[in-house]
Amino acid sequence: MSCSASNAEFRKIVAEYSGYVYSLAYRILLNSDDARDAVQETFVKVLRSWSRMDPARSPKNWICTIAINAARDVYRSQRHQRAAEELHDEAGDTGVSQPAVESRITAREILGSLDVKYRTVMVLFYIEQRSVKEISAIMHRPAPLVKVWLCRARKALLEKFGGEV
Amino acid sequence: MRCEHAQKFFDEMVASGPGSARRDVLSHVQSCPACSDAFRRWSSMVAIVRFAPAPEAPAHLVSEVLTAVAERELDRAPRRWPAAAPLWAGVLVVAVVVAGGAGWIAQRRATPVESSFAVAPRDSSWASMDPRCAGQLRATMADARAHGLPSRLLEQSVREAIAEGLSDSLVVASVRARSAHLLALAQNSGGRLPRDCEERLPAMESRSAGAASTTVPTASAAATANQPAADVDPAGGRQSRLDEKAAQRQDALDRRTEKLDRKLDRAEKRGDRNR
Repeated sequence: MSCSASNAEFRKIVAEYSGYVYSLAYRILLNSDDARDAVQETFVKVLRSWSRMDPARSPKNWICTIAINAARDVYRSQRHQRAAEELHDEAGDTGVSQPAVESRITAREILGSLDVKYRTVMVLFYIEQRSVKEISAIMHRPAPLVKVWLCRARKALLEKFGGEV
Repeated sequence: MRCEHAQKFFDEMVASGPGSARRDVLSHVQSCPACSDAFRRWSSMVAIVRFAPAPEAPAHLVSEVLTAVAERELDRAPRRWPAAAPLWAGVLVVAVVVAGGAGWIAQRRATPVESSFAVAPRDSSWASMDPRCAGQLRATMADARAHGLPSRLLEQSVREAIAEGLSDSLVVASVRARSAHLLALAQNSGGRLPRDCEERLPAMESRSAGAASTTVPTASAAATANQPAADVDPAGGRQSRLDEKAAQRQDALDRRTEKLDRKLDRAEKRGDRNR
């Protein structure tokens, strides 16, 4: 791929990966407005660092790395306090059944209680099925630290289920 | 087998099912009540993580992203990458085409699409503006975005002001006034704009326009354009001095915003280099 992005190439990347980035950002930020901001930030950064993309590899890992960093930046902008309020709005708007909403609130509350870095490693490990080595590369952190974060995240979550392993 | 050793295989057992586990691990987990309970909780934990809500991406996400990218890159163009201007122009053309489609969709939706504002009319209007006023308008819009205010309502204010035939400085003033009103609404509603903010805006604007025939934004616009304040403020006196002070404060804020913007750019550059 050339050093600068052509319209068609960039548009194709946006069309192909915006849904993936949104889903990833939403799972980390637990808020649709913030996830949309993270998607915009991600693709602005993708365009600006287009020349650093390795044409020999799938852009998914590269975009995932940028998306994780963008989500972290959005999270730091202190706009992550609207999650529960928004979820209740969603229930009213979409007619989602009450038990389903309650279990989603439970899942969101439990995940929301984790620090964002722990939530990120859990999402990457259990949902994205990334290895510790891959997470280490994506988050620019040493693998042993990622293992520690994973361990702490699991411990924090397991405590919510009535004790430690 | 020890419990600690068996528990190292929990992730594998959850991922591939207990049946796929090593025989000694499985037999230990089945026979040890502590490990059996721990495995049950481990499975619940993994289920919770996988159950994390992930709604479908909004239908207009792609157009929203393209529009936002084009707008932000054009804002940066004169300062950082003048050589790549054709690229941004191309992205803008794509964004305009896509935004046109999004606008068509938005007309059929109860909630208007945030990103479907008319990029082309906005830019063509700005093109004829005094460069200094256009810069102030951009700074105001950037400031509003930083506060989480919707660009669409400010764009609408620009269009209305231009349609009324107001001078460039008054266009800037009207946008600043709307930004201030939106900020006030958001502050009164606990940091988030109320759903009926669009209905409440005209009343707020007419109230502020009617108050003593001078408003802070109007006067600030007059000061910005270096016009005599009396032209805009026939009442003169104390109100004019207050207006001048407000304009000075606004100018100081603009300068500070630009300074912060430059600082942010430098930090980003450093970050890019480090990476």
